[in-house]
Amino acid sequence: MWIYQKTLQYPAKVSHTDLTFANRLLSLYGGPDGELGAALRYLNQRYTMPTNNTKGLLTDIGTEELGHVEMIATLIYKLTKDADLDEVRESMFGNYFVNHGKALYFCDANGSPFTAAYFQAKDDPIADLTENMAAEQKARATYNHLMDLTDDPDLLDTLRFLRQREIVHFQRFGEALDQVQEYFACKKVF
Amino acid sequence: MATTATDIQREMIYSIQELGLTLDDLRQYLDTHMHDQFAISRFNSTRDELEKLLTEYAGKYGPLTGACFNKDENNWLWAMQDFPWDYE
Repeated sequence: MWIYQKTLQYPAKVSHTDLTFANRLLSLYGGPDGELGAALRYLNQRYTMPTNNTKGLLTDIGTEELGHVEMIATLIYKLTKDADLDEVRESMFGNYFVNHGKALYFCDANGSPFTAAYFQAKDDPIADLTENMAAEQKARATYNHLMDLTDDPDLLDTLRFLRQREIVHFQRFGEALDQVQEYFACKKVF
Repeated sequence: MATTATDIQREMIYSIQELGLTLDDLRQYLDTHMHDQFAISRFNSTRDELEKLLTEYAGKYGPLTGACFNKDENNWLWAMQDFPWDYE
Protein backbone atom coordinates (compact mmCIF):
# COMPACT_ATOMS: atom_id res chain seq x y z
CA MET A 1 0.00 0.00 0.00
CA TRP A 2 1.24 3.50 -0.76
CA ILE A 3 0.17 6.97 0.36
CA TYR A 4 0.65 9.90 -2.00
CA GLN A 5 1.90 13.30 -0.84
CA LYS A 6 1.10 16.22 -3.12
CA THR A 7 4.61 17.66 -3.07
CA LEU A 8 7.76 16.70 -4.95
CA GLN A 9 10.49 15.18 -2.78
CA TYR A 10 12.70 18.17 -3.70
CA PRO A 11 11.89 21.25 -5.85
CA ALA A 12 12.21 20.66 -9.62
CA LYS A 13 12.58 23.98 -11.38
CA VAL A 14 13.85 25.03 -14.80
CA SER A 15 14.91 28.54 -15.91
CA HIS A 16 13.69 28.28 -19.51
CA THR A 17 12.24 26.00 -22.18
CA ASP A 18 14.84 23.55 -23.56
CA LEU A 19 13.46 20.89 -25.90
CA THR A 20 16.81 19.30 -26.68
CA PHE A 21 17.59 18.79 -23.01
CA ALA A 22 14.07 17.50 -22.35
CA ASN A 23 14.65 14.89 -25.04
CA ARG A 24 17.94 13.81 -23.43
CA LEU A 25 16.43 13.78 -19.94
CA LEU A 26 13.98 11.10 -21.10
CA SER A 27 16.81 8.62 -20.51
CA LEU A 28 16.41 9.12 -16.76
CA TYR A 29 12.65 8.64 -17.06
CA GLY A 30 12.33 5.42 -19.07
CA GLY A 31 15.90 4.63 -20.12
CA PRO A 32 18.14 1.69 -19.12
CA ASP A 33 19.50 3.46 -15.99
CA GLY A 34 16.46 5.63 -15.35
CA GLU A 35 14.30 6.15 -12.29
CA LEU A 36 11.37 3.95 -13.35
CA GLY A 37 13.70 0.98 -13.80
CA ALA A 38 15.20 1.68 -10.37
CA ALA A 39 11.81 1.86 -8.62
CA LEU A 40 10.51 -1.33 -10.25
CA ARG A 41 13.79 -3.23 -9.76
CA TYR A 42 13.89 -2.59 -6.00
CA LEU A 43 10.20 -2.98 -5.23
CA ASN A 44 10.10 -6.22 -7.23
CA GLN A 45 13.16 -7.77 -5.55
CA ARG A 46 11.68 -7.52 -2.06
CA TYR A 47 9.75 -10.79 -1.97
CA THR A 48 12.69 -13.18 -2.01
CA MET A 49 15.00 -11.23 0.32
CA PRO A 50 16.10 -13.27 3.37
CA THR A 51 15.89 -10.54 6.06
CA ASN A 52 13.25 -7.99 7.03
CA ASN A 53 15.67 -5.08 7.07
CA THR A 54 16.64 -5.82 3.45
CA LYS A 55 12.93 -5.90 2.53
CA GLY A 56 12.59 -2.59 4.38
CA LEU A 57 15.51 -0.99 2.57
CA LEU A 58 14.22 -2.08 -0.86
CA THR A 59 10.75 -0.78 0.03
CA ASP A 60 12.07 2.58 1.21
CA ILE A 61 14.54 3.17 -1.62
CA GLY A 62 12.06 1.86 -4.23
CA THR A 63 9.44 4.25 -2.87
CA GLU A 64 11.86 7.18 -3.03
CA GLU A 65 12.66 6.25 -6.66
CA LEU A 66 8.94 6.60 -7.48
CA GLY A 67 9.27 10.14 -6.17
CA HIS A 68 12.25 10.64 -8.47
CA VAL A 69 10.19 9.42 -11.45
CA GLU A 70 7.77 12.23 -10.61
CA MET A 71 10.59 14.78 -10.33
CA ILE A 72 12.07 13.84 -13.73
CA ALA A 73 8.58 13.95 -15.26
CA THR A 74 8.09 17.42 -13.78
CA LEU A 75 11.38 18.64 -15.26
CA ILE A 76 10.55 17.28 -18.73
CA TYR A 77 7.03 18.75 -18.50
CA LYS A 78 8.38 22.17 -17.52
CA LEU A 79 11.10 22.11 -20.20
CA THR A 80 8.54 21.45 -22.94
CA LYS A 81 5.21 22.99 -21.90
CA ASP A 82 5.77 26.54 -23.22
CA ALA A 83 7.45 25.56 -26.49
CA ASP A 84 5.64 26.64 -29.66
CA LEU A 85 5.40 24.51 -32.80
CA ASP A 86 8.25 26.31 -34.56
CA GLU A 87 10.58 25.39 -31.72
CA VAL A 88 9.35 21.80 -31.76
CA ARG A 89 9.82 21.59 -35.53
CA GLU A 90 13.44 22.67 -35.32
CA SER A 91 14.54 20.53 -32.33
CA MET A 92 15.34 16.85 -31.85
CA PHE A 93 12.23 16.73 -29.63
CA GLY A 94 10.24 16.82 -32.89
CA ASN A 95 10.61 13.06 -33.41
CA TYR A 96 9.25 12.34 -29.92
CA PHE A 97 6.47 14.89 -30.49
CA VAL A 98 5.18 12.92 -33.52
CA ASN A 99 4.34 9.94 -31.32
CA HIS A 100 3.54 11.52 -27.97
CA GLY A 101 3.02 15.26 -28.32
CA LYS A 102 4.08 16.80 -25.04
CA ALA A 103 2.79 13.82 -23.02
CA LEU A 104 5.20 11.90 -20.83
CA TYR A 105 6.20 8.50 -22.24
CA PHE A 106 8.60 5.99 -20.73
CA CYS A 107 11.44 5.77 -23.24
CA ASP A 108 15.12 6.71 -23.55
CA ALA A 109 16.64 9.68 -25.39
CA ASN A 110 16.42 7.77 -28.69
CA GLY A 111 12.74 6.93 -28.23
CA SER A 112 13.25 3.24 -27.38
CA PRO A 113 10.35 2.22 -25.11
CA PHE A 114 10.96 1.16 -21.52
CA THR A 115 11.41 -2.57 -21.02
CA ALA A 116 11.68 -4.95 -18.02
CA ALA A 117 14.83 -6.27 -19.75
CA TYR A 118 16.62 -3.32 -18.08
CA PHE A 119 16.74 -5.18 -14.75
CA GLN A 120 16.82 -8.61 -13.17
CA ALA A 121 15.39 -10.61 -10.29
CA LYS A 122 17.56 -13.67 -9.49
CA ASP A 123 16.18 -15.05 -6.20
CA ASP A 124 19.74 -14.59 -4.99
CA PRO A 125 20.19 -11.65 -2.61
CA ILE A 126 23.93 -11.34 -3.27
CA ALA A 127 23.35 -11.08 -7.03
CA ASP A 128 20.36 -8.74 -6.62
CA LEU A 129 22.06 -6.35 -4.18
CA THR A 130 25.20 -6.26 -6.31
CA GLU A 131 23.08 -5.39 -9.35
CA ASN A 132 21.51 -2.57 -7.33
CA MET A 133 24.89 -1.13 -6.41
CA ALA A 134 25.90 -1.13 -10.09
CA ALA A 135 22.54 0.42 -11.01
CA GLU A 136 23.10 3.32 -8.61
CA GLN A 137 26.53 3.98 -10.11
CA LYS A 138 25.19 3.82 -13.67
CA ALA A 139 22.45 6.28 -12.76
CA ARG A 140 25.04 8.57 -11.12
CA ALA A 141 27.14 8.46 -14.31
CA THR A 142 24.04 9.29 -16.39
CA TYR A 143 23.38 12.32 -14.14
CA ASN A 144 27.02 13.37 -14.63
CA HIS A 145 26.70 13.15 -18.42
CA LEU A 146 23.48 15.15 -18.38
CA MET A 147 24.93 17.79 -16.07
CA ASP A 148 27.75 18.28 -18.60
CA LEU A 149 25.11 19.20 -21.19
CA THR A 150 23.29 22.09 -19.47
CA ASP A 151 24.13 25.44 -17.87
CA ASP A 152 20.63 26.04 -16.45
CA PRO A 153 21.28 26.70 -12.71
CA ASP A 154 17.79 25.60 -11.58
CA LEU A 155 17.97 22.38 -13.55
CA LEU A 156 21.50 21.70 -12.27
CA ASP A 157 20.34 22.13 -8.67
CA THR A 158 17.71 19.40 -9.06
CA LEU A 159 20.05 17.07 -11.00
CA ARG A 160 22.74 17.55 -8.34
CA PHE A 161 20.27 16.53 -5.64
CA LEU A 162 19.19 13.41 -7.55
CA ARG A 163 22.81 12.44 -8.26
CA GLN A 164 23.58 12.74 -4.54
CA ARG A 165 20.75 10.34 -3.70
CA GLU A 166 22.30 7.73 -6.04
CA ILE A 167 25.48 7.92 -3.95
CA VAL A 168 23.57 7.52 -0.67
CA HIS A 169 21.64 4.54 -2.05
CA PHE A 170 24.87 2.91 -3.26
CA GLN A 171 26.18 3.20 0.31
CA ARG A 172 23.01 1.66 1.81
CA PHE A 173 22.96 -1.25 -0.65
CA GLY A 174 26.63 -1.90 0.16
CA GLU A 175 25.79 -2.11 3.88
CA ALA A 176 22.84 -4.41 3.13
CA LEU A 177 25.09 -6.66 1.03
CA ASP A 178 27.62 -6.97 3.90
CA GLN A 179 24.81 -7.80 6.32
CA VAL A 180 23.27 -10.43 4.04
CA GLN A 181 26.67 -12.07 3.61
CA GLU A 182 27.10 -12.10 7.42
CA TYR A 183 23.59 -13.55 7.79
CA PHE A 184 24.45 -16.45 5.44
CA ALA A 185 27.79 -17.02 7.18
CA CYS A 186 26.06 -17.28 10.59
CA LYS A 187 23.40 -19.61 9.22
CA LYS A 188 26.05 -22.10 8.07
CA VAL A 189 27.55 -22.25 11.59
CA PHE A 190 24.20 -23.33 13.06
CA MET B 1 -3.55 26.18 -4.81
CA ALA B 2 0.00 27.14 -5.62
CA THR B 3 -0.61 29.08 -8.82
CA THR B 4 -1.73 31.75 -6.35
CA ALA B 5 0.48 30.47 -3.55
CA THR B 6 1.61 33.01 -1.00
CA ASP B 7 5.21 33.18 0.21
CA ILE B 8 4.15 31.70 3.54
CA GLN B 9 2.47 28.80 1.77
CA ARG B 10 5.59 28.20 -0.33
CA GLU B 11 7.80 28.31 2.76
CA MET B 12 5.54 25.72 4.42
CA ILE B 13 5.87 23.45 1.40
CA TYR B 14 9.66 23.81 1.48
CA SER B 15 9.68 22.93 5.18
CA ILE B 16 7.48 19.89 4.52
CA GLN B 17 9.87 18.78 1.76
CA GLU B 18 12.87 19.31 4.02
CA LEU B 19 11.40 17.29 6.89
CA GLY B 20 10.22 14.59 4.46
CA LEU B 21 13.70 14.25 2.98
CA THR B 22 15.23 14.03 6.45
CA LEU B 23 12.81 11.20 7.23
CA ASP B 24 13.53 9.40 3.93
CA ASP B 25 17.25 9.55 4.62
CA LEU B 26 16.95 8.48 8.28
CA ARG B 27 14.56 5.66 7.41
CA GLN B 28 17.01 4.18 4.90
CA TYR B 29 19.93 4.67 7.28
CA LEU B 30 18.01 2.90 10.05
CA ASP B 31 17.21 -0.02 7.74
CA THR B 32 20.90 -0.93 7.94
CA HIS B 33 21.58 0.51 11.45
CA MET B 34 18.62 -0.85 13.37
CA HIS B 35 20.01 -0.20 16.87
CA ASP B 36 21.15 3.43 16.49
CA GLN B 37 19.27 5.11 19.35
CA PHE B 38 20.26 8.62 18.30
CA ALA B 39 18.91 8.11 14.77
CA ILE B 40 15.67 6.57 16.10
CA SER B 41 15.10 9.51 18.42
CA ARG B 42 15.84 12.00 15.62
CA PHE B 43 13.46 10.06 13.33
CA ASN B 44 10.66 10.26 15.90
CA SER B 45 11.07 13.96 16.61
CA THR B 46 11.27 14.82 12.89
CA ARG B 47 8.17 12.73 12.25
CA ASP B 48 6.26 14.64 14.95
CA GLU B 49 7.33 17.95 13.42
CA LEU B 50 6.22 16.88 9.92
CA GLU B 51 2.88 15.58 11.20
CA LYS B 52 2.24 18.94 12.91
CA LEU B 53 3.14 20.91 9.79
CA LEU B 54 0.98 18.73 7.48
CA THR B 55 -1.99 19.22 9.82
CA GLU B 56 -1.34 22.98 9.98
CA TYR B 57 -1.10 23.16 6.17
CA ALA B 58 -4.31 21.18 5.71
CA GLY B 59 -6.09 23.56 8.11
CA LYS B 60 -4.84 26.67 6.30
CA TYR B 61 -4.80 25.69 2.62
CA GLY B 62 -5.96 22.12 2.00
CA PRO B 63 -4.82 18.50 2.15
CA LEU B 64 -1.35 17.45 0.94
CA THR B 65 -1.84 13.73 1.53
CA GLY B 66 -4.84 11.46 1.14
CA ALA B 67 -4.78 11.07 4.93
CA CYS B 68 -5.15 14.81 5.68
CA PHE B 69 -8.56 16.12 6.75
CA ASN B 70 -10.63 18.22 4.30
CA LYS B 71 -11.28 21.58 6.02
CA ASP B 72 -14.05 22.61 3.58
CA GLU B 73 -17.42 20.92 4.22
CA ASN B 74 -18.76 21.67 0.75
CA ASN B 75 -15.76 21.21 -1.54
CA TRP B 76 -13.44 18.24 -1.99
CA LEU B 77 -10.19 20.23 -2.01
CA TRP B 78 -7.95 17.22 -2.75
CA ALA B 79 -9.31 17.06 -6.30
CA MET B 80 -9.61 20.82 -6.83
CA GLN B 81 -6.11 22.02 -5.98
CA ASP B 82 -2.97 21.99 -8.14
CA PHE B 83 -0.59 19.09 -8.42
CA PRO B 84 3.15 19.60 -7.81
CA TRP B 85 4.18 19.92 -11.48
CA ASP B 86 1.78 22.85 -11.83
CA TYR B 87 3.06 24.89 -8.89
CA GLU B 88 5.06 27.80 -10.20
